[in-house]
Amino acid sequence: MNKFLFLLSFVSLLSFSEINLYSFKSETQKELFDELTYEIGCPLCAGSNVSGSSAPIALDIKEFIYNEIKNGKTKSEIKNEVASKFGDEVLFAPPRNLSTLLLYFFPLALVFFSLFFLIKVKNK
Amino acid sequence: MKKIYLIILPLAFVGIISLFFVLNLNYENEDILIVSDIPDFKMTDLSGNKIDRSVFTDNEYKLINVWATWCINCKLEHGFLMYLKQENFKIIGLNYKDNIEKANKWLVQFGNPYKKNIFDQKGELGFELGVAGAPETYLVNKQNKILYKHIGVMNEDIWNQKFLPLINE
Repeated sequence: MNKFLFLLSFVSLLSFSEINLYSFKSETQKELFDELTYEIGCPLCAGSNVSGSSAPIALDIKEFIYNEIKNGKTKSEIKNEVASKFGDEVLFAPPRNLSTLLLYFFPLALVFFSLFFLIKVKNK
Repeated sequence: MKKIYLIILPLAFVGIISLFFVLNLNYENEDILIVSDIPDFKMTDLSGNKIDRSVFTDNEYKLINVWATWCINCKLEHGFLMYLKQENFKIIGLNYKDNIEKANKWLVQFGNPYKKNIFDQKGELGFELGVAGAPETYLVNKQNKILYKHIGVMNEDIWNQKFLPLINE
């Protein structure tokens, strides 16, 4: 019994004391927050979203997103607000226009091309 | 005959992809050109006096310069800001997430290029303006619209290449 208590003293209590900075009324709000912080980039750190950044501005944007979700704003409204302040560059999903068409269809084209050649070579 | 075709086509394919990559290597990020209004605000300046949107007077070009004493690069551009002051260019300072005593000390020590300084301790007005950090310098036109945002150190090259063409337009 004493041995058991001794071993128990090694169990960290810290692992049970996770602090949740942002608390939401509903699960959908939390999901929206996760989606937005994932899809909005940190303007100072290239390639990183605000979710994965601890830069001061990323924290500010997260705070803003949190407050706007609590105010009942929709996903696209919040995205537009952030983009109007920091520029379209912070939105990770690239706009669908002619110049980004390549981006969306290139992987597909590559697969078809490869298949085409694979079949050609195999038939020989 | 068929074999040549099987070699040339993939080669051409890879060639086209390489071309895209090479072209993109020299691609410069487009400048941030969001024409936006200056939001209404009620803040205090570095002397503790009230300051609001009316500090942006009509009918002249002016700059908003975001700075802080913790910002090392702000020291680098300080000399050029002093030069702009000599040229009678109006600069409104946005002291961003800073300590008011340190900021005032800085202005005494290195000189004050600013017409007025907005003290934005929490970065609230900064957020409205889309400030990501310091230093940043914005060009504001005669109708009080932000024409251009420059992120990073301000210097003569950037002034000549980015700001002057917009002012002389």
